[in-house]
Amino acid sequence: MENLFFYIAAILAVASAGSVILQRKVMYSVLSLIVALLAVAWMYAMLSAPFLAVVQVILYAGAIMVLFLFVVMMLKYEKTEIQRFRPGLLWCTGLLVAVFFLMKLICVVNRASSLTPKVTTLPPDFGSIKSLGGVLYTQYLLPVELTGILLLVAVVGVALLSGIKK
Amino acid sequence: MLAANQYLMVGVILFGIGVIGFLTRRNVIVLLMCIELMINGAGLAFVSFCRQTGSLDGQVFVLFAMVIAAVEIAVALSIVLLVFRNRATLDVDEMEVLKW
Repeated sequence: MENLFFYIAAILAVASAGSVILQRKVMYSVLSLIVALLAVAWMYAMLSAPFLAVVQVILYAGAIMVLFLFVVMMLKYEKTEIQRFRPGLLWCTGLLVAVFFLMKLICVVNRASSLTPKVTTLPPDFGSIKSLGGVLYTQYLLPVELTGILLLVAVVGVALLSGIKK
Repeated sequence: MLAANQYLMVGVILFGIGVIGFLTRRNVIVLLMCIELMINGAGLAFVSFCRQTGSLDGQVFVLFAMVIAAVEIAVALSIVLLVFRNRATLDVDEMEVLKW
């Protein structure tokens, strides 16, 4: 049963990710990216990370993709028509480099996963909000605070860039 | 229970599709979306390793990665808006002022 759910999610994720890079219209790419992100959230939920799955849906498929949709609808790029792929031999070289990189990556990841120790039993509250929050606010307290500062800097930067007049 | 290896492969494939799109597409918004795909592939690898080793550190990293992705996209999209306002293009091959 879990196998079936995994294969549905995996096929959905890979197919919609492929659709992101193959669509001619950017709006369709954005919509297929939303499907891919939801499929990844599904896999997070199956990998005993329910909190991450919820955050993925709210933050990625919610907030970030709404930003993308806003920008795509704001820009009238349909009039300045853009080709899908880069000109000349550039896209061909890019594809070759990417495929080579992907094959290398598969070898490395396979090796790493066979070297990592496997645990057979997980604690029953593994990945719950309580246990994740316990790790986050004790061991990773400083990075959490720094992330807050980063968010503040980003808010100021975006306000400055998007042209609030003095 | 399914082996975490299969989830890992899906993560790698998502990352690879992101790299392919990043190197071949021309539209700068699609390039940003490919970065999102790569971040998600890496996140999936983090979470599946985390399930395999039984530690929660990977899930915390994915949380940080999500926040940083949100920040990055907000800043990048406002830069894209500025470039479009000044140059009226979204083609990465025409954004070459910094190149020479």
